[in-house]
Amino acid sequence: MKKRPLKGMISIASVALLGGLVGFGGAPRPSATHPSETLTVQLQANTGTASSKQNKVLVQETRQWEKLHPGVTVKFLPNPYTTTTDSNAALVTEASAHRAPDLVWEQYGATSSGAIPQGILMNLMPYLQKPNPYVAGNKKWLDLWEPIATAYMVTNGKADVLLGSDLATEIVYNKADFKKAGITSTPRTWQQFIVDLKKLKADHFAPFMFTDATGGCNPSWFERKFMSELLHAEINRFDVNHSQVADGLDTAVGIERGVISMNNPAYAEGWKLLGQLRPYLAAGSSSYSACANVTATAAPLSQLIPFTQNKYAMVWSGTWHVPDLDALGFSGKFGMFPFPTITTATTRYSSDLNLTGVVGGPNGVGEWSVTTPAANSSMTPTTKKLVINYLQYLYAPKNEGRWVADAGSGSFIPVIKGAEYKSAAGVTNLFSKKKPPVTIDGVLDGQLSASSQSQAIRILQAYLGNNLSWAQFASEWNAMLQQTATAWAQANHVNLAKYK
Amino acid sequence: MAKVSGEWAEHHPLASGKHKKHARLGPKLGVLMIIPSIVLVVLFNYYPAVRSLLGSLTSWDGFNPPQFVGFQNFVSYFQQPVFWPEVRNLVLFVVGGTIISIVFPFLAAELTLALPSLKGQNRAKYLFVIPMVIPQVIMISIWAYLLNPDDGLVDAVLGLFRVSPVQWLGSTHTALFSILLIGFPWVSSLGYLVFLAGLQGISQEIFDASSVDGVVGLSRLWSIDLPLSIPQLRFVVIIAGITMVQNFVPILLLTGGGPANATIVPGLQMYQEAFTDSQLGYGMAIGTLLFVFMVLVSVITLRFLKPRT
Repeated sequence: MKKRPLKGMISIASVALLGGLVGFGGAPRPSATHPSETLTVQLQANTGTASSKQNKVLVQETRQWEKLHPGVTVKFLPNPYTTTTDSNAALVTEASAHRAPDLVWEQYGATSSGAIPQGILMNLMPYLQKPNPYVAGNKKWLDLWEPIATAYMVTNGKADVLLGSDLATEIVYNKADFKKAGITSTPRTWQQFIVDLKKLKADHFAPFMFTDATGGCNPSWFERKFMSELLHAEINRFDVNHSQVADGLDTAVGIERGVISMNNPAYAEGWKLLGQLRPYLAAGSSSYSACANVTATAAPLSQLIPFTQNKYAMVWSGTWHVPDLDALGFSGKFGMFPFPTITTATTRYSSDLNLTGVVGGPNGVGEWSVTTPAANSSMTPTTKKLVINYLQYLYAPKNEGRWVADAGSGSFIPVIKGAEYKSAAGVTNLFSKKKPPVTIDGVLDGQLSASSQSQAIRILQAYLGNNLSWAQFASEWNAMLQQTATAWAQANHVNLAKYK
Repeated sequence: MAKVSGEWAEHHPLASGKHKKHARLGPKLGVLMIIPSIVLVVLFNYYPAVRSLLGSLTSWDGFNPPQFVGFQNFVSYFQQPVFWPEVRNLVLFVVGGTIISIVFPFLAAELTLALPSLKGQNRAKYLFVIPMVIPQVIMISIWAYLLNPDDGLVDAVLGLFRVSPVQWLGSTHTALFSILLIGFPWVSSLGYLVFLAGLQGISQEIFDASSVDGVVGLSRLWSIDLPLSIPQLRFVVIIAGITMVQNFVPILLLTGGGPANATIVPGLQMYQEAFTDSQLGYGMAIGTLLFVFMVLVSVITLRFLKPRT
């Protein structure tokens, strides 16, 4: 009997210890019945904390909104991740514990591809059909967005993400190198592009850094561009969902039906065109990404650093990097032009489309999704109402321009009609506010899975690095496509055979 | 009351005359004290392992309920085009990493003990051991700087000898070697301490006897030091093998598995499938296969590296 107290104490201590470890961790959140309410907002990846320069105006406007709602506080959670993929992986983990933040930064590609499991993000369409109380006379909140944004935002009548800004990609070139090589105007077509690359190489410049690091973005831009162009005539063979962007199901069906396949000459043509660039590409491209932060010290590195060191004549970049180039002391030394168009003069598979807005698009800053009660146990009806009201405030024309433009020093273009903003020099002529043709994303954009994206990019690295012949590349690529489509169908419980 | 005897009884405070009550509880108290550790190990080590084994038979996105798919994840993994490149790289990493973990620390331990004064030996020990406290991520970051293709120190030094810059991590020919290069000269490791302890444990009488027989210098190293260090060698080989299988962090941070498939390994794919692609079932299947591989490496090592007397 004497031993029992000791045993009991140890048992209680063990249970308490285990309880502390597995059950009662983390800070408590205010309950719905509490008079005060705290909304949690996961900031955009790469923007640091709420006190960072990029988030300054967002926070200022949020404090204004809080004044309109006494007792309500918005708590910003820093996003420690540098990519959407990593950020979303963390979101899934939090959601599985029902502890996802109320608002999360998101991108339309991830919401339409199936990269985020169903049930984590809320369909905002019912709210978008109602008036925005912060805009006098508005009957439907959705009407406030530019057509280019709504085209991407709404998929199958659902809207899992609100878009905030437009961005464009462009070729950035060294003006001095072009001048020395005798290039007097920037190329508009693929053929002119090849001619200029030859001139640069003949003048001993490393003409073009393509950048194809794992986790980078540039190869997906090329894939999106040529697929949207060269497969335009075949879209009806795999565009199952009939949305602006071919989603995961569309891509899987395209593979299943042999449209997205090296056996399809139109699809293969795109990769053959890319192969034409190989003699002009700078070495070591797998260490660089067109989307990398200029402060990156480990791969993927920013191609802008060697570009400003005059190592290459051209890089493919984005409007969001204009402030970086200025900060690197290259202001006035660079010019920009849209990636050249693949015309029928180059290949008979071209559709001669204007693809402005297809590569780039509303994928900049200011993209938010709301989590569901299944992913976020604190998402009560009261919280939901407040979150929607907060978003209505942020996406009102009088507010949206400020926090979006400020986040990118004027390199992002707000997508709310009537939003006021000041854009960076030379940026606006790269944009189009018209609805672009149907955008076809592929495996390099992570349409089917992040792992197949990595696998695809490694095959592409081997092809661009002359480690694979065309036949080997085509064979490996086809095998990867087939395996990826099968894995996607299995993971998403889709029977692809019915689309055969 | 059970009689407490032996060395423990003589020296342990609980067994002294003043603590007879505690001494009575001694063995049982020991059992009770170890229970929390066992519970935590089971909870955080064994449960996840078993959970992983079961999870490998499911398709699970981490949020919605898992669905049983049998061995489909394993079949998919073996059929994927990158399977053989992963196997090749894994073998190269394990073999290369294990050799590095043996040769250099062993030589460093030999050289340390070959120093004439005890003071010198102690200083050498400090010199070799202190770098062990550098966290791996810091070490990787340092090497990322050193091998940086834009302004890396290695290329800068080679440039002094008119050697063209090398794309250390950006070329299929050098990427895998560059990953192995991290930690050069590979001396400051657990292996160094293990070998040092082993060599110090060899009886002086054996060295004296071998000296009389004319076994000195390199012949002593081959005939005496190495054979008598087999237990340490076996331990280092197993630990190094497991570490190389598990440790994909340098690859994740420096190359992402590229360029092409030059540095892709199963561990990296496991991480990407599970934590960036939310295919946890598939990731668990790869993890299960890695566990089997590590067991095989350990068993083979234990079978072929038997201690000699």
